Amino acid sequence: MELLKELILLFNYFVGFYYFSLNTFYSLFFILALIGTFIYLKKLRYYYITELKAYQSLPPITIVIPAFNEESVIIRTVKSALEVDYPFFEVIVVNDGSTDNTLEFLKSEFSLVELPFFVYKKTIPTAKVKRVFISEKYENLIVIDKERKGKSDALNCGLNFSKFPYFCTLDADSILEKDALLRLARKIIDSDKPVIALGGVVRVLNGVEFKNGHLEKIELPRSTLANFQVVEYIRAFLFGRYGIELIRGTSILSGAFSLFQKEALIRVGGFSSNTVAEDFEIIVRLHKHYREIGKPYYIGFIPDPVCWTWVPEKVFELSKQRRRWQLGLLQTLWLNRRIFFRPKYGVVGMLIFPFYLFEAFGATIEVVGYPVVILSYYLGIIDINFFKLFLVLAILYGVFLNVGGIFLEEISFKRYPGWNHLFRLLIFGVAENFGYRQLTSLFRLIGTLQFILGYRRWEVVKKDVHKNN
Amino acid sequence: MLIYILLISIYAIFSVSFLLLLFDALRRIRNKAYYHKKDRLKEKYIEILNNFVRNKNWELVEDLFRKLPIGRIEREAFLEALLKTQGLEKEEIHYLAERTGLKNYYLNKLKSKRSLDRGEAYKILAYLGTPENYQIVYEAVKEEKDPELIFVGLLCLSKLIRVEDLKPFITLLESLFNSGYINMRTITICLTEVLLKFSDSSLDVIIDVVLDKHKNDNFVSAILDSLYFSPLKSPKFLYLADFLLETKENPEILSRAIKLLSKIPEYLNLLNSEKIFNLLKHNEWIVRLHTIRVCKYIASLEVLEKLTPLLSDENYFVRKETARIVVDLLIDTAPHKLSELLKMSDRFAIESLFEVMVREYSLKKDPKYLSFLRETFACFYSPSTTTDINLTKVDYGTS
Repeated sequence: MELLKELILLFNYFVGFYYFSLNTFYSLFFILALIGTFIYLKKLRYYYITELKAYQSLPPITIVIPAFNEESVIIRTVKSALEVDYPFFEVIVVNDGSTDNTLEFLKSEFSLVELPFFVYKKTIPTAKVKRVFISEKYENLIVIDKERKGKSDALNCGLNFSKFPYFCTLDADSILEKDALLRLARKIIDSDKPVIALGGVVRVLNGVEFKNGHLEKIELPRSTLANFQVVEYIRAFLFGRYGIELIRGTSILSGAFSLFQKEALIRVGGFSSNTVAEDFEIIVRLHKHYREIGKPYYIGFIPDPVCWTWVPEKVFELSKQRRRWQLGLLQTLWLNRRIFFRPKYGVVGMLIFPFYLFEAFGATIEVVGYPVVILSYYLGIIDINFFKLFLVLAILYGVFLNVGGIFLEEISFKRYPGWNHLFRLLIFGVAENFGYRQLTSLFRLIGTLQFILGYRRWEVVKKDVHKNN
Repeated sequence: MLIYILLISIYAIFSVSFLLLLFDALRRIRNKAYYHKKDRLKEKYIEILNNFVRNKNWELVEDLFRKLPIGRIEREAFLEALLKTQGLEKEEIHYLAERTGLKNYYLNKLKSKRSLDRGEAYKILAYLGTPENYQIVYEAVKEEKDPELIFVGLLCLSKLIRVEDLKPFITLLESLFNSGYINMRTITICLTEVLLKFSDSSLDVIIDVVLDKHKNDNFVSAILDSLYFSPLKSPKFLYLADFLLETKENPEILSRAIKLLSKIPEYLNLLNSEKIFNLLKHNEWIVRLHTIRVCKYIASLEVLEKLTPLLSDENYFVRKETARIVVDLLIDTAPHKLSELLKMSDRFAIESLFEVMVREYSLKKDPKYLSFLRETFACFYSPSTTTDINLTKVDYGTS
C-alpha cells in the first residue's frame, strides 16, 4: 500500500511538472503570437496584395484536390478553386476510387470530356490511373480517375500530372478565400530564401453561407460540436502555429490547404503513405532534406491566407479524425526519431520535435490523471483544498488559452464581427473545458494505443452535408 | 505554500483573461465609433471630390484645403476618398495630396524609426508621390535592411521613377541583389513596372546593363525576365538576343535570350536561323526547350526536320514541348505527316506525340484519328512500371 501511495505521489508530481511545463510553452507561444500579430497586422497595411496579380512573373500554381466519396461537397470546392483570384493556375481533381457519385457530378457540372488515351509518367509511383478528363468549360481543369490507394497516393498522382512549379493541396471539403493564393505568392516574391512550403489558416466552414463557391455570409455553426471546433481551430492556428512560426519552427501545415514547391516535393519522393498524417510527415521530411544538404530554404506559416473546411458534427466522426491526427503525429515522430535533439536540424530538432512529443503525451496524462488525482484525494495523498484549487487552475488556464485565441482573432482578422459571435465564442471557449476537451483527450489516447498496437488504417470521416451548392 | 502559489496563479490567469476581454470590448466600441465617423467623413469628401470631377471648379475644394489635415481620422478618410473617387486625373490627385498636406505627412514618415510607418509611407507615396519625390524615397530605400520593406520601397520607386533616374535605380537593385536583400523575382517585377511606364525610352538603359560583361549572370537573367514579361515588343530584342547568344555561355542567360525572341516572331527572319537551330543541340535542356518554342515561328519545312529528333530528347519537357509544336504545325495543314511520325521507333517520342495528339483530337472529337491512334498505339505498347497508357475504348459514335 505504501509503495502504491509513493507511486501515486510521484505521478502527481509528474502531472504537476507536466502541466506547468506544457502551459509555459503555451504561454510563450501566446505572447509570441500576440506580438507577432500586432506587427504582422501593421505590415499588412503596406503589402501589395491585389496589385500582385498584375505581375506576369508570379509563379504558376497547380491546385490539387484529392477526393474520395465527396459527392456532397466536391462541386462547390472545385468551383471555389476555379474562382480564386490568381492569374496563372490549374486545378487537378484526383478521384481516388470513389464509390459514390463524385465523378458523375463532376462530369455533368464541368462538362468533362474523357481522353481516349493518355500517357501517365509516374515520376512518383502511384496506383493505376483509370481515366483522365478535361473540361469543355474550363481550360485549366483536369479530372483524374484512379484506383483507390489513399490521400497521399492521390496527391502524388496530382503531382505527376501537375504542370506548374508550385503545388497547392486543397481538401475536397474545403473552400479557398479568393485572395488566398495571392497572399501566399507574396511570400514567394519577397522571400530572401527559396520558399519550399507555405501554409495558411484553416477555419471552420460549418454554418458559413456560400454561393457559387464564394463565401456569402460568415456565421457560427448550429452544431455544438462544430462550435467547439471553431474555438479550437482559432486557438490552434492563430497562436499555436503562428507562435511556432515566429521561432522559425513551422513543422505542421494543414493538409487541407498548403503550398509546396513542386521540385522540392519530387526531390523528397512526394507524399508518403507510411503515416496517416501525410501533411506533417512531408514537412518534416522537407526540413530534414534541406538541413542535410545544407541549402537555404523557407518553410513557413502565414496567418492571413484563409481556407474554410468542414468539421465533423458527430462524436463518432470526430473520434475518427482525432484518433487519426494522434496516430499520424506519433507515427511521424517515430519515423523521424533521428531528428530529436540533433543541432543539425535547428529549431525543429532541438525544440519543436521534443515539444510535439511532449504534447503528444498530454492526452494520456490527462485521461489517466483524473482518476489518479481523485484516488490520491481518497488515499489522503493530496489535500482537498489543493485538489480543488488545482482543478480550478487547470480549467481556468484552459479558458485563458481560448480567450487568448479569441482575443488574437478579434485584434487581427475578425472573421466573426458581431457581438453575438463574440459571446458565443466565449461561451464555447469556457464550456470546452467541461467535457469536450476531455472527450478529445480520450480519442487521442485511443490514437496513442492504436499507434502502440501498430494500427495504420486511414479512417474516412463522413460529412453530413446535404446541399451541394 | 503550494496553495498560495496556486491561488496567485489563479488570480493572475483570471486577471489576464479579464483584462484581455475588457480591452477587446473597449476596442470594439472605440473601433465602431471610429469607423462610423471615418465613413461619414469619407462620404462627405467623396461628394466634394465628385463635384469637383464634374465641374473642375477648384473653389469647391478650397474649403477642404483649409480644414485638412486635422487628425488621423480626417487624413485616412481623405486618403481613402482620394483613391476611391473615379475620374480624378493623376495630376489632380498629386495636387490635392500636396495641398492638403497628405503627401508631406507621408514623406516625413519615411524618416520614422518605426519600420511599419515607413512601409505604409512607401505604399501610399507610390500613389500620391510625384517624380520630384523620387530622390527622398530612393535615399530611404537605400537605408532599409528588411527585405519586405525593401520590396515595397522598390515598387514605390518604380512608380515614381523618371528615365534619368533609371541607371542609379538599376545600380541600387544590383547592390541589393548582391547583398541578398532581394531576389530575382523582385528585380523582374520592378523593372517590368518601369518598362510599362516608359516603354521604349527606358529600353536603351536596360539593354546597356545587359550588355555589360561584368554584371552578375543571375542579375542579367532577372533583367531579361523583365523584358520578357513587359508588354514591349521591340526589334532591339533581336539585337540583344543575338549579342547574348554570341557572347554568353550561361544556359540561364541563353534560355532567356531565346525566350525574348519568341516575343518578336515578326523579326525572326532577320536572324540567321542556323544560330537558333544550333541551340536545339545545346547540352542544357532549358535552352533546348525555349529554342523549340521559337522554332514555332520560323515558318519553314526545315523546322520540322530539326524538331523531329527532339521528340526523342532525354528530357521529358523538351519531348513534350516538341510534340506540342509539331502537332500544332501539322494538325490542320498536314495531318498525314503526324501519322508517319507515329511510326518512329522511339517509344518516348511516340508517347510524347500521343499525349498531345490525344488532347487535341479529344477536343476535336475526331473519331477517324482516335481509331487510328488506338490501333497504332496498341501495336507497339508493352506494359511498363513507370508509364501507364490508357487504351480504354471510348465511343465517339463510330466504333
